[in-house]
Amino acid sequence: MRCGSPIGRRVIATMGTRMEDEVIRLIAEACDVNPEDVQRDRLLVEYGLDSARAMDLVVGLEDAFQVQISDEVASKLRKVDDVIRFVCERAPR
Amino acid sequence: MTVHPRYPTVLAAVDAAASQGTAVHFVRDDESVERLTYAELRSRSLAVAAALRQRGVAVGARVPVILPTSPEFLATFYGLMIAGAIPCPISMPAGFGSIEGFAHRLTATTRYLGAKTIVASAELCEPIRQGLPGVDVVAPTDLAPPPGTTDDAALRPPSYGRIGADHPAFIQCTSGSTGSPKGVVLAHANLVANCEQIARALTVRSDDAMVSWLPLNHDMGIIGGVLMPLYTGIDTTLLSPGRFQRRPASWLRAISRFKGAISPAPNFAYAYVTARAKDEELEGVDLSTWRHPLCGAEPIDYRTLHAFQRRFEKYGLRKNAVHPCYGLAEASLAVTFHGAERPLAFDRVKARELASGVAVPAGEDDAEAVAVVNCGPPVDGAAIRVAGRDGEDLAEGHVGRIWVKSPSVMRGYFELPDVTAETLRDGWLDTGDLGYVLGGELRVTGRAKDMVIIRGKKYRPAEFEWAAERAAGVRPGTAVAFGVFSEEQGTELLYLVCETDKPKEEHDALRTAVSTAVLERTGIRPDVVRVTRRGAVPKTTSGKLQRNRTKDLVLGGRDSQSWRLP
Repeated sequence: MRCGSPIGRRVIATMGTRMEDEVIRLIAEACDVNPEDVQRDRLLVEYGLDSARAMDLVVGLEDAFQVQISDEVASKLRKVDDVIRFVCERAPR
Repeated sequence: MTVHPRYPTVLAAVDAAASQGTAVHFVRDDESVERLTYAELRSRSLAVAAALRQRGVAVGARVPVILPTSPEFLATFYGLMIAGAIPCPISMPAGFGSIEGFAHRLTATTRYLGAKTIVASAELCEPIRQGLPGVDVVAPTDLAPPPGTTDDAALRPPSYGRIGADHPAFIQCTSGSTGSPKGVVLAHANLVANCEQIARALTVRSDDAMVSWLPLNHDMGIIGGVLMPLYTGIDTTLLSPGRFQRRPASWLRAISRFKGAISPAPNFAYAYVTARAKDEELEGVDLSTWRHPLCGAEPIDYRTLHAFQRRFEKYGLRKNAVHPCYGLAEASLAVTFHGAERPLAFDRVKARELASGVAVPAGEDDAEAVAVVNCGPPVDGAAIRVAGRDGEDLAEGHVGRIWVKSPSVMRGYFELPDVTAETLRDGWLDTGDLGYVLGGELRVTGRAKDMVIIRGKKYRPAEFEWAAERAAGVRPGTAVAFGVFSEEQGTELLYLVCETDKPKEEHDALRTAVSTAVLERTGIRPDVVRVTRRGAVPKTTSGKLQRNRTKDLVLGGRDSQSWRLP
């Protein structure tokens, strides 16, 4: 099931929000910043996400959502929103 | 003692290994294993060679290879060699959003190499094509052999017999965002010589096994983890660098599972695994087969190795297991080894005397004594000399530039005759490193060439300085980058210093902007950014940056009127 699929809009909205919150929490944790300061349209590098911190984020996302994030995939995810969308699309429900 | 390699080329080593039952194991991220015998690997490589020739890849063509640690990487690497082309392994993009910086660097490297074909993982082909119109960018899946030819002998190209010891085997590239990549050209003769030297130094036996998670674009990863095992016909087990970084315990689990006897890594990895591998991840792990935990590729801190030794002895790690070594890509890989089963040795020397160029033993009560690790004697067939400012030979115990002579020393930098002539003189390689020799054994104390080494990878400071100056508000030509060793991290921290005309209240924002600019373009986040007023960064009278002096000023805490840090 994808975030955008038309099944029970309210249920999906709730799940999507929960997922989004969790992704933001993991980004904040990896970058050592406050979750409230993480904005969807900002670049991840703006939060100081270097390759070492990126490893922590990948482990966090893989454990939380059972997704696989290869180096090639990660290299194309620039913004906070890109990560949220990727996880929403790929995570098994 | 001279070395006589058992094979003239890597290709002959591939043939020899194919006649044995040994194999390469690829540990996937879920810890499942793909086993590929050397015979299967040769068949796949021959098929790739045929497909490459069909796509127009000629003898001598330089081909960047951008693939993760996988059977496809090795089949492409050997396939290119079989076709007489020159593989140039390039590091994968690392980190979120790194694709743009990666594509930028790759464009510069591809132009420098004059490459017309690139082999890259499928995910990367499209973004690479966008930046490099006219270059044939292919994924391994596009490299199927011509139909009907499955026999190894039939797939062998006509040029195969002409690939001799002097033919370039591969080019090890450093790619730069400043557009000045450098490629170390290694001939087959260099590689087989170094493999023989390593095999002798480690007394490699036919039932030994290698385990490596090192990136395959790094000399220690490709020569240590892949070519030396091929050359000696022993099993090798490969994990991805990402796997190690995410779950460092997986390195030790692989050594236990595949009875690894040899496994090298830079200093940081020993610090990292000691700090991050959890006991519950190591249940049942047995490290007693690991005769050669080798440590090289960056400054070695004996404290890191002691801590590692203590932490893992309960898992069967042998006493005095870890041995330091010294080498560099320009000498293929290895130059010295501190022999197996000798206790880790280091000199305690007086700090001030060392700084002025002499290693003088420090007294027991000298709190400022410096520990310098003994990297051992040169491998068979290699020689080291330590030279003073005017090129004169220095006596033992005197610090100078380390020069190396060995059959493993590169042919030169690709199409950079001036840099090559500066680096290779009368058969000797200027390593750019500083050190001294005692009892014929090498100690490395620093480096004469400006270089930052982070997690075993070398960077030119100019890369970081260029990136820092992209941040609005940094005065052009004033950014200075240097590395400072951290005991806790086991590697160097990146420091950046720059001048600005902005008022003090905007310095915090500028520091963040510099950090982001450097991270975005190089993948490395500076650990410390210092912003200072105009005129504070020291320069020579001709306006050249003085990196060492800047470093002294920042670290020494010396009082300098022109140096006021915020």
